[in-house]
Amino acid sequence: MHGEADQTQRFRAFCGSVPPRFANPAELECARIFDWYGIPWEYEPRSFVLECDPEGRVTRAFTPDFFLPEQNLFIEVTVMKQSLVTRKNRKLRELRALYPDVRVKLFYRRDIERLAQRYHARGGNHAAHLQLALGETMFPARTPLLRECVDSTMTSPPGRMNRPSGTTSDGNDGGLLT
Amino acid sequence: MTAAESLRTAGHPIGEVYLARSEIAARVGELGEALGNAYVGREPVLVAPLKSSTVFLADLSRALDCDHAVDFVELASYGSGALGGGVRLLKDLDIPIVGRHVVIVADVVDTGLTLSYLARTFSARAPESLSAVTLLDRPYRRLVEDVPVEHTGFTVPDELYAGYGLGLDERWRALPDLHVVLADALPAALAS
Repeated sequence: MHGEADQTQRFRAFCGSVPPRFANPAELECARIFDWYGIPWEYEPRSFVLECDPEGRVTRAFTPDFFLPEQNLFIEVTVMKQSLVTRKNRKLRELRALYPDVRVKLFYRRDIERLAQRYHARGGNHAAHLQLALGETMFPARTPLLRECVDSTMTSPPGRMNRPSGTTSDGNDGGLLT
Repeated sequence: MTAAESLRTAGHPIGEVYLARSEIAARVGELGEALGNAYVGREPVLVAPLKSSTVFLADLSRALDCDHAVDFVELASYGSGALGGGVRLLKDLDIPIVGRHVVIVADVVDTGLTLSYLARTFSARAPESLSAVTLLDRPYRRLVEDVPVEHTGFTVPDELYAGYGLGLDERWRALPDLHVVLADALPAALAS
């Protein structure tokens, strides 16, 4: 895991209640980016139910990696190339269909690469560092059970269980999935 | 052989021209005219964050047919500080902007994080107005929506670019056209 508890204390813009345990270096890098810009962020504060069985038990859910409360925006980080994110995009489409008031975007590895492009570190090849951090040698992802766990923060689709709270109805970004 | 072809031959991941210098020049001329009309008699301050915006600023300044000032800021490099640090100005404005019309001149706006930071920082100094012009825009990549982009050169696809001031690790900025960077070849190029 990345982002141990003692690191959490040093994130100045983290505003969640549970210390983040990042699944991979890209998530940690994103947290650092939000922190760098002073954008308040939470880590995996809510899960969204995507599917239930006839008995009402949750069979599929989606937990976006970050929530930016000031933007009212969920962020899902992917280190895959944009051409390979079909499965993740499908999940986001499902989420949007079930929760039309929830704003969610993908944060691609390219977004982080661009940051490296614009602000390479002084005295070191930070761009290369980022490239390596986001490269193919990713750490093993958490198990599906962990990633999609049904916990107390689980939110259900409207009409099934409870509606997601703290969201507005200003629509979603239609350009994300193109 | 052009500079880009020479780089390509040497193994640099410089792809095809996405925007030729003539296209850029024509659009920058239009932006200059639009800004000139918007700020006639107001003497705006054009502010460019170093370094990628400098070429655009130089051309835009000369295309702007109204009196104006030029200034620069430099942001601390992301990743240059320890965890828990934050974005800050390494070089601040030389010109006081209280009561002035400030135009931020950006090379690219995508997530909006940097522009939002600059807008917040400058707004705290009580300018008369604050807006932004960007050469390249990726509005579909915004994370922060409250950015004051009023003029856009080109809305571009989700690619990495080099040339016309844009570079990576101080390379390729001087290419006169805007090229797509072959992202797949980047890690090897950066490591070399």
